[in-house]
Amino acid sequence: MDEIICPLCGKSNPIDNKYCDYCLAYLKPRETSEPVPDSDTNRGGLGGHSTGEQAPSWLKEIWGSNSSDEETPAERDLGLELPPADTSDWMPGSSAKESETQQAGSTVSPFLGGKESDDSDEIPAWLNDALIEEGVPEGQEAEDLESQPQYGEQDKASQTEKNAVRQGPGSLESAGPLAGLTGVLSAEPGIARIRKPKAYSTKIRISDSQLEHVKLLQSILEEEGQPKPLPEKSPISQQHVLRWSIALVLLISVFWSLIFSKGQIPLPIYDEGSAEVNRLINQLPENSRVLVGFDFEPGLASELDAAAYSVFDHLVSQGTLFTTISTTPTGPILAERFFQYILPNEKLIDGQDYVNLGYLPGGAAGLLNFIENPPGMMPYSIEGSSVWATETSEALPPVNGINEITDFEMIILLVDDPDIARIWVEQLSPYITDSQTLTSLVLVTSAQLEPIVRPYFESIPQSVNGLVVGLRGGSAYARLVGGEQLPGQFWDAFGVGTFVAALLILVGGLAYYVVPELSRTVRGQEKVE
Amino acid sequence: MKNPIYAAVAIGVGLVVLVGYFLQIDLLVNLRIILLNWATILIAVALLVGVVNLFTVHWRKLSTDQPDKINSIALLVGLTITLAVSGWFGPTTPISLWIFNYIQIPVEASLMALLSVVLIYAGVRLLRRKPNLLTITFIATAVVILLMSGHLFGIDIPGLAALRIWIGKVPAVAGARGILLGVSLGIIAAGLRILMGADRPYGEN
Amino acid sequence: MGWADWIGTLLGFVLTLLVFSYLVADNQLFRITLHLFIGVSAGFAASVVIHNVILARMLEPIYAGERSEQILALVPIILAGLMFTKISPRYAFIGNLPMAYIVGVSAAAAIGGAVLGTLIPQTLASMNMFDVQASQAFDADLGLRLINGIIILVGTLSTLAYFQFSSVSKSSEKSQLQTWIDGLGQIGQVFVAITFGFLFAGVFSAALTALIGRAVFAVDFIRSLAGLFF
Repeated sequence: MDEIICPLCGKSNPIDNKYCDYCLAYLKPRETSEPVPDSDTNRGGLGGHSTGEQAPSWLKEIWGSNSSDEETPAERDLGLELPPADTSDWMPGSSAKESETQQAGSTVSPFLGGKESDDSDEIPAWLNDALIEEGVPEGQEAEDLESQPQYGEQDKASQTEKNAVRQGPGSLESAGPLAGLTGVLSAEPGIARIRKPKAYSTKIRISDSQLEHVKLLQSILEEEGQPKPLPEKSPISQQHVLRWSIALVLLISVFWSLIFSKGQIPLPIYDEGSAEVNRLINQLPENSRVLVGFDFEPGLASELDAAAYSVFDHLVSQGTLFTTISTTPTGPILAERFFQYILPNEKLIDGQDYVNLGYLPGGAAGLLNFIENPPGMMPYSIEGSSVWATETSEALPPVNGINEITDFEMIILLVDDPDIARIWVEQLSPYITDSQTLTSLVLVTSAQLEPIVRPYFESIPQSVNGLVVGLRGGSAYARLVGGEQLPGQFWDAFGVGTFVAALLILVGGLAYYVVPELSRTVRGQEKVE
Repeated sequence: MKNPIYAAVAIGVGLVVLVGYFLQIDLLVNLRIILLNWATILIAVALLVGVVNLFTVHWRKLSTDQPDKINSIALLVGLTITLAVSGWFGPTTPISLWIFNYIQIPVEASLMALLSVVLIYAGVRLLRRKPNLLTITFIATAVVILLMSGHLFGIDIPGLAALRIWIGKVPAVAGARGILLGVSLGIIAAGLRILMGADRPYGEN
Repeated sequence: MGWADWIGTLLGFVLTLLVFSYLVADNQLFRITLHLFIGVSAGFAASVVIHNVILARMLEPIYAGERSEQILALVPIILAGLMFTKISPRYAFIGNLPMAYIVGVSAAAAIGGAVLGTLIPQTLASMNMFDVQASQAFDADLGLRLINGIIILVGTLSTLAYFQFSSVSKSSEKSQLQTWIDGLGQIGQVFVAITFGFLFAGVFSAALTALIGRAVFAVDFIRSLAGLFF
């Protein structure tokens, strides 16, 4: 569809439109059938023109030569068709006659001047020359026009020719909202001319070195998002070899000792804590009642069995009756196992020689409750039978006459955990350290507890009266009283194992430290050379 | 939202138990025994709640498509059979002791035995990781104690046995006593914070 | 050995080997054995609790106790029921009441034990090292005991200083007291190192004994097998 560009707002309108759909400006110069009235007050435009003797001769000539034309002088000057008369009805003596004719093709912007391409009229040479003298040179006008949007189908050449004519001062406006007015100041071409906005490049101007830096940054940022492949680990590393070597050496030494050198090395002679326990047990009366706490984990059953074996062997030989209790859930089972499987030769009878009170929950709170009220806290054995004295039955022999914790002649605790040992000692300490009390507290502990419980043993007054520590303490006790079977099984292999471990830590540790340092020094020297 | 009732219960029962350590009033002693009795029952029930939770967690794992489902199956089978057998017959009966002697003790003792290799491995690498005076002191003490814990093939190195005894009775006791005192002070501080309501570790949000 | 013991010994031997396979590398069989062990431990714990506590101390007073005992026994039953809500994340808040009860009692018992069982006795013990009369009762060599007492006292104080954690002073310069404590802490590090070295040796001894126990078990089993066939 053919379009016409509005001379005012620059928007496209259909070719048949007389007015712009957006700003209501006339799209084409107005056509008049009558010449512009030759009147002083009616020269079109504001201010009018002087006529007659006042007008310059050349202007008169123009008026005269163009009076027969349909175009007004302004139109003739501009080569335009003025819009219809309604645009200048408010102007007195407006010479603009309404014309409904709209020429096919486009019009030239009233601010530019110039005729339409199909205008058969030729610009007079004198006019052309005047324009050239007064206005913008033809060439520049032509250039300006070429950069403008098209005004429809028109011959560029003729358009250029027309646009060589510039509007001079005092001329009649023939198009736009000021049509019919004279003395209209021409807008600056740069402002009035509708032209495409200059296209500015959106590309950043950067130098080559800056571009290199941008690429580098981009590559760094891209790498961040990508997972880096892990270096391939060899299935067998130096750490694996070291661990396997240690395990192999230790296992070989232990098995060798177990198979070939069982019982060849004598048990240790003296241990202060074990000696003290021996003295305390020797002081116990016949058929004494001993409370035994089984509070160790099944994993260390070997060590505690070996440590406690000779102690219990000694106690059984004294006719001691045992009451067992545990603050760990597996303790009652370990107690039953110890009396049934570890001391089988003793043939202790449940309910007669020992009673298993079972699990004492609550840690410190439970122990405190039991210490203050043993029958109330643990009324039944682990099997569910009544152990304490009632109206209808007597108490079982191990708990006969027991109402308070201090009624027991001795309390023995088998323990491997420092916190449990500390809780027992703390809760019992006020009773044990009481000068009125004859009850003694003996600890049979794992070797890992020795530093923690020894302050209680070494203190004055003692919170712990006797201490048998680990396999060494049990072996020393076995050497004192006999009953060397169980500790003796372990002692040889234990000595070999501890020696091998000490050697590995000492020699291996030094080698592990010195060799890399030496190699680093040598490599450094080689680099320097 | 913090509920003051919980704090009031904790502080109230705690104060009754604590004051009973220092004041021997009959009413207080009897009340203390009752409160302690209930607490020990509840602590045992808490252990049971933990076992039930363990069961439900691994039971839920069976219904998922996790690759280590077989581990959960092993756990559930062990738990169910042990609970059924020891619950029905009793935990100290021969059949329960069979499970205890031939499953629990071998596995747990073997795990403990593995520790011996791990400890030597750690001891060998220690000097390289932290070569300073404290590490040397640590290693030297460990080596002396290890050598003198065993029989040393019957060889009597003069002074080494006495050194071991002296280390065990003097510097080790000093360090352990300091640690014990520090632990007790920490327990007192933490306990007093609970009894004053400053700390509320009983599940309040 | 009866057939049950034979099967049990074989089972124990196999389980021991499976656990020791961890020395070579972590493997699925080791993890299965571990989970089996956890299940068995939990089963025993639950069984002991049910027998020793739930039936004997919680429910027995209800059906065999006097009126007052029955009423008193309701309280732990109700609280125990509330505690089971801890399994459900939605209703776990209901179990806060019995938890608060347990925490209060446990805290008080711990405080009492710490004060009466450790703080006072150990402080007295540090002082009593210099008690001449007491020392004479224990050890004839008074001079050596006094020297040891000084070392123990210095070691105890320096270890306490080492474990002292105080807030950072706002001023950039340390006070003289802080400087003394820091210096004492440096000495305490040596005593701590000796104590931990001793502990390390003790833990290894315990682990070694466990290893020897397993080795004894394995050797006895293989010998029994050999005795069967040869």
